[in-house]
Amino acid sequence: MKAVNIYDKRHQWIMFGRDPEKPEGIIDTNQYLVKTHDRAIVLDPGGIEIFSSMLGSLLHHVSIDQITDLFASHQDPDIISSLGLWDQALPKAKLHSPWLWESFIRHFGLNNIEYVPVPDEGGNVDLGSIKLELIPAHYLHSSGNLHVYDPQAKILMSGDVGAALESPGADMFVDDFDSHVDKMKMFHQRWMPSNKAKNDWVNRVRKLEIEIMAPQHGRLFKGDNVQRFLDWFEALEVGVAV
Amino acid sequence: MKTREPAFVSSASLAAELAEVFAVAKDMSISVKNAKAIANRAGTKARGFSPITDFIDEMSVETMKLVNRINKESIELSRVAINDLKVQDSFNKFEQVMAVASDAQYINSLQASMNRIKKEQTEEKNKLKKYSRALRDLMSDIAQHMAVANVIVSNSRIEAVNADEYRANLESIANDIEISCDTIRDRVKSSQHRLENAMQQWRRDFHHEGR
Repeated sequence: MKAVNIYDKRHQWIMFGRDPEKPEGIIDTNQYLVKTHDRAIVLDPGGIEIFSSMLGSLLHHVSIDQITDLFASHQDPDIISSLGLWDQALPKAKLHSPWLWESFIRHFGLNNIEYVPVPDEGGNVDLGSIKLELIPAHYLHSSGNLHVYDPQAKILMSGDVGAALESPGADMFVDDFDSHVDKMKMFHQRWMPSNKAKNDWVNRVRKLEIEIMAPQHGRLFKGDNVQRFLDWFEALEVGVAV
Repeated sequence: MKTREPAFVSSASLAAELAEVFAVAKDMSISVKNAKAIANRAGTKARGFSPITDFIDEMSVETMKLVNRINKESIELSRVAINDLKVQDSFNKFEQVMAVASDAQYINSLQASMNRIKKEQTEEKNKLKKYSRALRDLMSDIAQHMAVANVIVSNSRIEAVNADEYRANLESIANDIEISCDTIRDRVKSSQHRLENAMQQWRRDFHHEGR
């Protein structure tokens, strides 16, 4: 699994993905590690099928005791079906996830990790030296959905928003936005159900200062491409299957 | 080639298989009550029949109680078997991590988690042993009851001979009870076989993991 350092100052953001060992037929996912000098959180740690590869990659960057927190943006299997295994690896950790999904996510196996139910209006994760903001992104696509914003690093982990269906081994960052649109359009139109929810999110996110927008699938957006994405997404008609 | 049934399926199947034993034991209890009523009508002609029916009635009630206990124990056994499988799966995944990331800077930090899983594995195996032995004993109790019931049914036939005009009825009931005993014995035998298979698998897995 590839690991790319996307922010490296007093704390670090490392993106994991493009796993060549990933079994065929399952969607490629991006996982993120946010690491301070003594704490770390894994954002959308991924499905059960990539657990070994993901944990193996993490241990190049962080010790198991340092991972104190997990975050699941929503309840989907590619986000958190590995929970039963993390529960064995990190018995003292906390899982931050929408309150709406607690009784569903527990089906993945939660005996040791503490579930921290995040209210609809969002919240934050205090890692001591940094505080991450949990931004509401309901109905994008899940009915209880959160994104993570780091005001110091100016990074927004945007879950399925900005996701693209790419061929294996795609680059980490979007270089040509216009040609990237084709890889995103169907995903957003089909998976995102509500124009109202989409525009509400766009208005909220426009108020944030964002250097990097980091989705859970496909390439990341940097610099001007973040604003290009917001403009494109605002204009896009979603929920088109009915 | 026949695929080997997973142990947690075997243990979950025991409850379903033995539910039939409960129904047959219930029928047996009803047949015995009929026999008792006929014996009462027959009076002195079927004097020896009453204690026999009392005995078989008690045994059928006892069998139903044993089946209820087996039901609870087998559900618990299946739960433990599934947990054992999950713990084993976690251990395998962690071993994969140890192999693929052997050069990772923090790989040794995983050791504590692996030790914890290993301990949990041993605890689960001990629970498997405990519940499977309890089930084996309960099934063995039912089998013993049925062996005794067969002897009693033979005796009841001898008693029926003296019951003159009630003989045919009493013999028919004795036949019913005998069929019930045979059905229960067959079902329990099949369940014992299933449990034995599961126990063998666990023993094999345990030895394999211990290597």
